[in-house]
Amino acid sequence: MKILIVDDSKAMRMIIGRTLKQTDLTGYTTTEATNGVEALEKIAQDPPDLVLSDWNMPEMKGIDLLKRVRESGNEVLFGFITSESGPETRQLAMDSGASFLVTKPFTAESMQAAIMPAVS
Amino acid sequence: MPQFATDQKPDSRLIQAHDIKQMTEDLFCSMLSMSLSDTETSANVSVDNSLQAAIRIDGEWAAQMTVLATRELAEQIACAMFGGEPGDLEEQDVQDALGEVVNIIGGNAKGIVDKDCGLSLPCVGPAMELEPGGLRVSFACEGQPFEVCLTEQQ
Repeated sequence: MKILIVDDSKAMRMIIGRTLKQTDLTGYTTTEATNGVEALEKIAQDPPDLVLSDWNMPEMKGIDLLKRVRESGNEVLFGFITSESGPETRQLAMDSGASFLVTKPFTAESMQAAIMPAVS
Repeated sequence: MPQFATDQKPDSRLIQAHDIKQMTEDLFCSMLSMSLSDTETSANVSVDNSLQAAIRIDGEWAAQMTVLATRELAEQIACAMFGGEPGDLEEQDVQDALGEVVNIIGGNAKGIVDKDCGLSLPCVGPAMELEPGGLRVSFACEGQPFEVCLTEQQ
């Protein structure tokens, strides 16, 4: 499984990668993008099986990335990992085609609880 | 109870001190594995050799969330996020880490407030004296003071 981690924070990309290793998810590789524009390029060049995206980023927000992906007909599994925890944000994410939303701060348990049902 | 300074009645605020305390403790515990404790006195972070990170919330609710940390604590926070030792990190990494701290606390605060608003990107730089009137919650972390300040704009 190829996982694309999209976050403008290098620290957060590292934390997400580290936390993924603490889950039961196995047999995956990760690549990274720093914003939605870069993520679109990487999705086109090397299609991932799962996208884990922040919401608030420069150049292109995560929700706009998701909309662009879905508009292109790409049904890649997509989840948000974000500090934006309001019900409106969650609803918008789901309505736009996200499978889950993990709220920061997260634990290995909360990440696993969100990701495993989506990938299984 | 955390000490805070405000010139507004506590119950007029959408976010209270205990909300900030909970959000900050959750972050430090679950993501940084760093212990955070209330301070018995309001130990403000000196602006000397300190950093601040701020994030704006704009819309139906307008506010700014600011965190202040000594440079030493900011480096420790960055080490907790990146791994490694303080000497291995660049200034950009330290600012990235502190920016993510305020991003998470600010985002969580936005989630509590049931209003249509958006988050800015974090802005990190040398600490400055905060304007009076905000809700300030002080902590101690690894022997260093750490502050979170919420300023709601009327």
